Amino acid sequence: MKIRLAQSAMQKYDIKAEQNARLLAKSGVFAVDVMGSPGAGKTEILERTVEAMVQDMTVGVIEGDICTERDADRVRASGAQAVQINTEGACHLDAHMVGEVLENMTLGELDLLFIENVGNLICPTRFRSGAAERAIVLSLPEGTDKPEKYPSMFRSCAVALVNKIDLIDVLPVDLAELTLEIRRVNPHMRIWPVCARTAQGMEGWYEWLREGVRRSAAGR
Amino acid sequence: MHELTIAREVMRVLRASAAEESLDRIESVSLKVGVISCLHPAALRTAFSVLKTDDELLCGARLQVQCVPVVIRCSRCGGRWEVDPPEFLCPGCGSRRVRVLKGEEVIIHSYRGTRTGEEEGMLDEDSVGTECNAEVRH
Repeated sequence: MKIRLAQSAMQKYDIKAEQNARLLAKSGVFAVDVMGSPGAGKTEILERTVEAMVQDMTVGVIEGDICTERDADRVRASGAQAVQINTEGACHLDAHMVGEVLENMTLGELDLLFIENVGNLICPTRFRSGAAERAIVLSLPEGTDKPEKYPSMFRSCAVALVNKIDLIDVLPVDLAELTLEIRRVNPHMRIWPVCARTAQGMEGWYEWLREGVRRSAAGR
Repeated sequence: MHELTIAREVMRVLRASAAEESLDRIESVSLKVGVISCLHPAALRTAFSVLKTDDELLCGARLQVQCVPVVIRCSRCGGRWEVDPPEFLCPGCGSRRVRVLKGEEVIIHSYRGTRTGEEEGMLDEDSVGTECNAEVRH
């Protein structure tokens, strides 16, 4: 006999992501997924960002890696409350992994929460965490072709930080062309060329985050 | 290799449904996978065939994967089009402000199963869609 299901295979994950989103909204926490290739500089972006934001708010970070506590240790040193998830081989975080951490975090104390995914431009795309926004970190050495090669990831993010901009003079990468390539797949993307090492160009990103934090606190 | 995660989830849903329907063998499963779902049909098939090996309910199940093309709606002219990613461009008015309506989904469309003592014949015509062997965009 034939059974028609017409059910999304992502349903279990999407439902949990919605639950996480409701919990975060109720707690007035502005949560941002941080995605990107390994080595793009996601954690260094977060180190600088946490240092800047902890002046006037409480920041949490959930770090997703296959193994080690290295990234959690780094953002903790910058002043964030950090929880490390080791996926033990899995190529992405999912809403259930994130939900388990959220249950054990004191969300009432947090204003801003980053969820740094495993470095990967494919697998995390379809797995929503429940964060209100998604940011992608890509670095100049990755070249200009990544948006077109991974359009789903770039379309799923609201903002892009183009990191390692200090290498502009030594790399054959045209920033205007990269911006154009990003806008081809996602015309709405906010783009900030930055250097996480020196915090150059990060002010626009900080302001975008502050605005999100104000909005989330007001909607609590 | 998140295809393993998805294959496992597909099997979990099938087990629950088969239990509800009192079926004890599943012969075929039809999935609809969007071409920008970030799932690779061949990897999905491999994951499914590895996971089903020792599963009494699913060991004989054949996985059919039908690709769903990308369909967009243009936010400027309202046109609805099938497009070829990564070009998310309205063929009607040239706008890049488009919303993806189809192409990102992973749907467990249907399956065929039997109860002990019952034998099933060939597949229904409508379940024999275009098998997807094409490369999938990420």
